[in-house]
Amino acid sequence: MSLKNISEKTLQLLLKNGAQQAQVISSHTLLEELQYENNDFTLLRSVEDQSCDLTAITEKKKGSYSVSRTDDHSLNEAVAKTIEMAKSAQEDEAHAIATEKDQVEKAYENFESGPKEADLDEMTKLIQHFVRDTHQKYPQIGLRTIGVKFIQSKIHYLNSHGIEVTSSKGYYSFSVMFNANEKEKSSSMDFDSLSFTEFDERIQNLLAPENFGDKFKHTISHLHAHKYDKSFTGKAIFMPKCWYTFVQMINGHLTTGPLLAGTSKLQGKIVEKVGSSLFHIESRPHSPLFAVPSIMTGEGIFTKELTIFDEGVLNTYLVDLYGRNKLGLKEVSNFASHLYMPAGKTSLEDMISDIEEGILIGRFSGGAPNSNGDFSGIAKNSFIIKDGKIAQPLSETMISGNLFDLTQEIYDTSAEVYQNGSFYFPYVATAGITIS
Amino acid sequence: MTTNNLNFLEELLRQSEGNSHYTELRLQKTRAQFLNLINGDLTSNQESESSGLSARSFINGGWGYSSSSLIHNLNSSEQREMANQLLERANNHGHFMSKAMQNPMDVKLPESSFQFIQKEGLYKGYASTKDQIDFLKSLHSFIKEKYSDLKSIQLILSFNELEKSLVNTMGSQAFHLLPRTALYLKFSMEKEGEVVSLLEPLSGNGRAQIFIKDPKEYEETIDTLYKRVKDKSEGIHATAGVKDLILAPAVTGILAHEAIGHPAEADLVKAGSVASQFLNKKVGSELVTMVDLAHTYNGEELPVPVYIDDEGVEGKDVTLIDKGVFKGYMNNRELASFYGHDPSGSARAYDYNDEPLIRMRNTMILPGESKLEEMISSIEDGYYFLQSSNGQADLTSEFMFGVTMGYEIKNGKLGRAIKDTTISGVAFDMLDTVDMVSDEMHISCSGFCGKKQRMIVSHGGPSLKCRLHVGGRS
Repeated sequence: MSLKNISEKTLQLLLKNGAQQAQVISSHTLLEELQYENNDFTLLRSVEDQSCDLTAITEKKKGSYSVSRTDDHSLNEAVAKTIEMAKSAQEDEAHAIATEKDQVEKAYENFESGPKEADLDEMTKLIQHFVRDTHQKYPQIGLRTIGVKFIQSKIHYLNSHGIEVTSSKGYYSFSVMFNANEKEKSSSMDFDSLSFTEFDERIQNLLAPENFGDKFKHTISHLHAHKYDKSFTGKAIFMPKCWYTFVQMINGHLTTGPLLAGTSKLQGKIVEKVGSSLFHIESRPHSPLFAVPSIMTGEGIFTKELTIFDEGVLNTYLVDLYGRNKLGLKEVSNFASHLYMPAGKTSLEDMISDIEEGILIGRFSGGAPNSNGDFSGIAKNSFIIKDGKIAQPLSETMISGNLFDLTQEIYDTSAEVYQNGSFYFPYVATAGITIS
Repeated sequence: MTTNNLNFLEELLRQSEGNSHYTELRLQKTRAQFLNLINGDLTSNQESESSGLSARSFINGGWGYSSSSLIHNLNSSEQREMANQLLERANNHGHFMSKAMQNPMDVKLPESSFQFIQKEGLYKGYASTKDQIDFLKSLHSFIKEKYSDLKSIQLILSFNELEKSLVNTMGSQAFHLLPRTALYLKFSMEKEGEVVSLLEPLSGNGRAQIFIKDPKEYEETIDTLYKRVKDKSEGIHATAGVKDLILAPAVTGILAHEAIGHPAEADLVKAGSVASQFLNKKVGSELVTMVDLAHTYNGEELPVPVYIDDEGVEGKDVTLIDKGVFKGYMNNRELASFYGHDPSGSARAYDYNDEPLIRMRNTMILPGESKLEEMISSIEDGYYFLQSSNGQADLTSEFMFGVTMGYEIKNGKLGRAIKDTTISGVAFDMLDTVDMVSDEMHISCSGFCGKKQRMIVSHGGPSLKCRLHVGGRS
């Protein structure tokens, strides 16, 4: 049975069995994964998955069920289960299935992107060349795990309000986890990843020693990392990957759950200035900067380019259909992927030279910030900056601060950007980080 | 059904013409349910079931894996055809790997077989969605009525279950279910514009009905959680620095899992974890004994009982640290062979399309003889940490955990509550500072371990008195 047939048949069954509104997402996924561990290839994995996700609303009650079996008997059972789940729920006016009126962006009917099948030879060569170059140029680096995956995902979305979309997306992902070793000394692990659609020059360049090498040099320098004995509160430069994790934590305050619970620090702050004018974050789901476009949410809402923080001003929450209705908002806006922060004009070198005493933060290993945005944790893969220069790789060094104070204190962003196919961020300089 | 599955898999394996050194077939169903009630509104009412067949082959040191969920959509002859295709692909992938390898090895996996067929009907049927939602609503009403000053009440009921049938070319056979349910209570309170939150996770081996009770039966838990979140709202920030601490069992458990357990997994040992230097060496105080137990402790079944793993190996206890001396690793067949150890039965996969990885099962530091009261009274200036949020550790055993609930200890007595903070250190250094271990024991299976795939695990232990770095504002 084709995905379209599965969706159509299941939707009809849901409506026939008592659903007043319903949606069905039928999907088929192929995955090929090549894995390299501790100096050799270890695994080639092929996966073929099919699934059918059903959602029904009846008498303002909602239930969602997902099943991987899509034969007639299993779909009948899944429909009965979904209806039973919906009937068991509580009435809530806010439950909804997407309609044309809910759309904030143009609709797609068919969407295709990326390769349709895996190129196993290229996947193998990518790993072989990366390993060869790394071993030649950086013999102290231990490549603990390298994974190259090909994923092809086909989806057919159909709902009772006539929204129907077919999409097919293919892409590759590369991930590497590494550390440095010298006699009995080992550094902390670091990792990196990128997504792409072609084995072209851009990917070769990104993974070439002259580009990837800085990450290895950082890691090698951490063989001699030690604790910074002095406590101070001062300036910090966040490396792009680390800043991205902080932005995700900030964005968490804009989602339906914390807003409904009343625990969001950003509640009621739409159009208020919550950060410095350099704190500018966009979601660009269709941009060619990213490997895999996102065209639609799981609720059948077509994504749009969205400015989340507009030069420090909070422009929107990131709510789903339920959150929009429950909170009385205008639009569905849960498009928080494909994040983009514009580059600045200052070089990283100049940003560092401007700091008398501060920290360059590569990775944050910390507890989830509390509701007020207070965080503390260890600065991993990080360096002390002293008198305008990188002075010391750090270990066992705790940093603390407040997410929302950090955004207010941003005073510079770098000309250099990091883009890995999933996000696009510069280095970000801010103040108010306590090192202890 | 169990016997049918195993007969079907055995027949397929016998008929396969592969030339692998080892092959396994696993038929698996994974169920999950998630209900989320925020301030009385049911924001999530979701359930899923995924199932499929996987084949995995080992050839000259390379692994090939192939799986499909489509097998269930087919009639029996088509099922056989697809299963044979999966076996053939796994075999071909194994060959591809052995050719791609720089150093293909003539590795022989340890020959061992084990049969474990779990008694059917061991677990009661599934609780209905209605009963679960009604329970959450009545629990919410009970809490709301008793404590109306809470800013928000969030209740989550989360159920996961792995059902596996497995055969391999060494003659192992397995059928078993691993159900886990967790009930999370999260209270938030606002004081002077600041919101504080605290989560209490309850968990156990079994389906949702293990928690569906009269809300009054949770009164003690609710009262304690309310008192703690109220104390926390009036709390102070911890003072930064190296402090004398008492870690309650929930914190001890996450420490055992993240900071000591992971570096002691043989794949991470091979990757260069700090534990690779420590075999049979003293790594901590003689008061510390740490184990990863397969299924039973003191005659009672543990929350994550693993009688057989996904390579058909009998689940065996692993003593990681014995009275302060590092004693062993958790492994799979391949790394048991590499290190010349016995296989521990620690290779587990979360879903049918996941390959087995070395995973912890029930990881804990064993209790000592001290009384908690004596431990508190022995500290002049320190903290008692009760609850942690997430934790992370790396191969050097440097770790960090968020602490979401704790009290200061002044002159041997508990003082004011503290706001969220963080503790960090190097686990194998910290173990040396342990000078008291309580006689209590608490085990939790509320979280997931994430190591490429998610996995149901449990961890726990007693209270530990030790010295660690506390994050703070001054």
